[in-house]
Amino acid sequence: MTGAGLRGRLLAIMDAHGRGGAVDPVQVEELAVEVLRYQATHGRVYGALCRRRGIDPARVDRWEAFPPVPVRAFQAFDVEAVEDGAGAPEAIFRTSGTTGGPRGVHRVHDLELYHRSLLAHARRSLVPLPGRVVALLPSPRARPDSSLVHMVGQFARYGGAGGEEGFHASPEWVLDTAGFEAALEEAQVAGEPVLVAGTAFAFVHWLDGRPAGARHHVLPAGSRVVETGGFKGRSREVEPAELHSLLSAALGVPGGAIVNEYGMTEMLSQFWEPPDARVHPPGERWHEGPPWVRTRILDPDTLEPAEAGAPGVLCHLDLANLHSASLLLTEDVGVPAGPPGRGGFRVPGRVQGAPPRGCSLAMEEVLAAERAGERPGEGHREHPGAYP
Amino acid sequence: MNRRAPEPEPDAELPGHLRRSGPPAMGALPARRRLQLLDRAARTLVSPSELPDLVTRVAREASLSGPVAGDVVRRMAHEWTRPRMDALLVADLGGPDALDDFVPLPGAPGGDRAKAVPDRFALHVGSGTVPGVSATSLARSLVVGTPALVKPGTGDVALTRALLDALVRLEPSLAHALAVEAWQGGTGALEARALQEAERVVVYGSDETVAAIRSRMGPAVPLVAYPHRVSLGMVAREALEEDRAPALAREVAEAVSAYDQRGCVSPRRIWVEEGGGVSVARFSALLEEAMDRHARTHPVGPMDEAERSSVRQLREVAGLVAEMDDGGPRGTRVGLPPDGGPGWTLLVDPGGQVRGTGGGRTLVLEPVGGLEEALATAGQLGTALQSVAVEAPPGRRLRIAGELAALGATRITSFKRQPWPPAWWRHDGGGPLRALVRWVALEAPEGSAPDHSSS
Repeated sequence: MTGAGLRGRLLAIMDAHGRGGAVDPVQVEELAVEVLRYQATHGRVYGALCRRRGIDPARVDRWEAFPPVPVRAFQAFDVEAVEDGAGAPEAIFRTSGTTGGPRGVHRVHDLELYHRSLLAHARRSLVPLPGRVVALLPSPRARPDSSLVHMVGQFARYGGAGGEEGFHASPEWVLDTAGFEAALEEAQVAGEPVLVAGTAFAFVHWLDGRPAGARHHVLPAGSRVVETGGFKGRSREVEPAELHSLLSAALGVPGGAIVNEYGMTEMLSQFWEPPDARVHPPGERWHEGPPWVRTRILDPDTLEPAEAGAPGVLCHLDLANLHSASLLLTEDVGVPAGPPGRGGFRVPGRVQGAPPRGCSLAMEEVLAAERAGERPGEGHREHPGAYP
Repeated sequence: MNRRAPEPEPDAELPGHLRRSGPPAMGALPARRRLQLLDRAARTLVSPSELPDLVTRVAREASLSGPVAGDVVRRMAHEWTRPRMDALLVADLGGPDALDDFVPLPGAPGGDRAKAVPDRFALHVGSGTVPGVSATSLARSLVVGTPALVKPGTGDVALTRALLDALVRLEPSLAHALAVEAWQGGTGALEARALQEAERVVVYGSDETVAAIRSRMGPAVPLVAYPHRVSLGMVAREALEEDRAPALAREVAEAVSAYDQRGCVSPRRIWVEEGGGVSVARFSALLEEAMDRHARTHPVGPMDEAERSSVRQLREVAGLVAEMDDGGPRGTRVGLPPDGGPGWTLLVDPGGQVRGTGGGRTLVLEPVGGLEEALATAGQLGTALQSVAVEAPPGRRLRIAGELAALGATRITSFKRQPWPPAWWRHDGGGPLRALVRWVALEAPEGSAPDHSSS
């Protein structure tokens, strides 16, 4: 099938999910096989991976039997799956380079597909998805290579704004806390639900910088606080429960309105804590993806399923990655969590890409850090596992 | 003062106690007596009655296999013995006498003298999982006579405590001068108090750890920092001869495998020059054999999912590079144990295309037409560069050493010696004892000032 045909079927699934409808899992898994065959045919990297494994995609009829692409391949190659004559990518997102190597690059050829995926699942997960955005992030125009910023920009567009308003950090990620406070006040006065977004370390910087006795906000009912985890030594490290408690008090929202997002630059769909997970404290919550995403928890040595309930490396199937690589082997370690049959997981352990223990550095770590002059939160690879 | 874990609330008064009681306790022990105590304690640790249990504890705590932990304990203890410490004292302070008395200042005319004076109290902070780092820091503090609180890294508590226990058994008064406490770095009243009381702080850790501690210290307090470093290796074509290559491969394998490659002295990448009597391909095959053989006697320690995942990523990407190499001239190759386990990986990466790091024991071998190419790359590391093993004929080795020194390296060595620096090494370019003392000059009353009248 052509890319256009696959895209059409995928959009129909996304729209059905976005409207609150059910999606037939068999239909998704059949589509997955076709998408992976398409990528083996039209993707230089995925084709090479299948060849290396001696896999003939035409003979494989289960998506689980296809080989996953290691996320570090996005550092070494242009991971694309496009038909001849395809134009330049519509967006290029870069990772933060936390694996001690260069920054990974995700060349996105179909932003519409990305946006439909993003909004459909966010609407179902955040319930509601507020239209007004106040973010401790640079604006999308300032940081076009950040998939995190792009995502929040789409939320702002969804609310009817131009997608550039409500962002309170410089292109260098210096926080404009005064502007952020003023925007929160404004939202409170307007009485409309607001989506407050930021990385965990940005929130901690903001909270730490508030004068003692600063007045707490009381955000309108229906507001949501989206935090994306991650400290990476850029602020004091705060346990998730403490961060939630501080945010809840400072913003005047219940704990269930604070939602963690697990996402990665290499993947166009997101995992959110669903509403029934948010009745639990942070450490007991879990993440779920949309119906066009599947997650397997694998033994990193064998790539066979980890023992039931045991930790393993997360391997995601994301059909929204139609034009790059849909089957991704991450470096994140997770365990199954949440109600059976919903594909939920929790990332309890160390930060992905954590450097080897000890006092030695690899050459790449030093050179990559010097090249990147890495800025906080530039890459979109934030999740609860980043907490110490 | 040596307390056994678990201790949820270490006594925040400990630094004050050490600062008050430590100086008289240390002062009552002349330098030679302290050296003797350290020597006896080191020998006790490796005695048949103590060593097996200690190795077991170190292995468990640091996630090393028993044989690897055994090597670490024996090698470390050896460096704390009297002959090794005497050599360090001579290299750093001219000998032990300067710690007890004003001694003649070498080269100074007219009787000027100097004394190396310890602090009243120092804080030593270790981080990470390399055993022996904090114990060595404790030993150095004892040698110069500074009362100290030592916070070992999470994988370094057992050996540090064992050393202190052995010392206190020999000389109970040391319990009032030295203490080992483990706590979560960056937290708690004990750390805050220790930073207040310390006249000097020694830190081993990442740039972030060093910066975090520096930000909490008083501006006048000296900080002795040993940040993480990069160590490398170079093999000249002249070294690649049939009679030398197998032994060299063994030495490289052992250098990589010590501490499971976690030490700052552990090589992570070696450059091998093409054009020798033994081809690079043959040498890499010898190296694979050596890595595997060594892993059979010295297995890699337990690796968690994150480390194994990191190895998997590296191998997968290298495999992709090889697949897409289109039969390139030199060929990317991934060597791994016969069972495919994560224990060791040898990545032959001609174009430097495979980026990122692995876990376990992962060595990148980059073939080069000339070591000059390697020098250019090493030069980009600047002061992050530490130990470089160079295998080359003497004249060429000396030239390369000169260039590496100019680029930022602080130790040029052989693969055989690379993972086990001697007590007297210039740690990151400085004398480790010299960094712990304050020199006090005692100038002769008259007649010794430089005489300019004849000029």
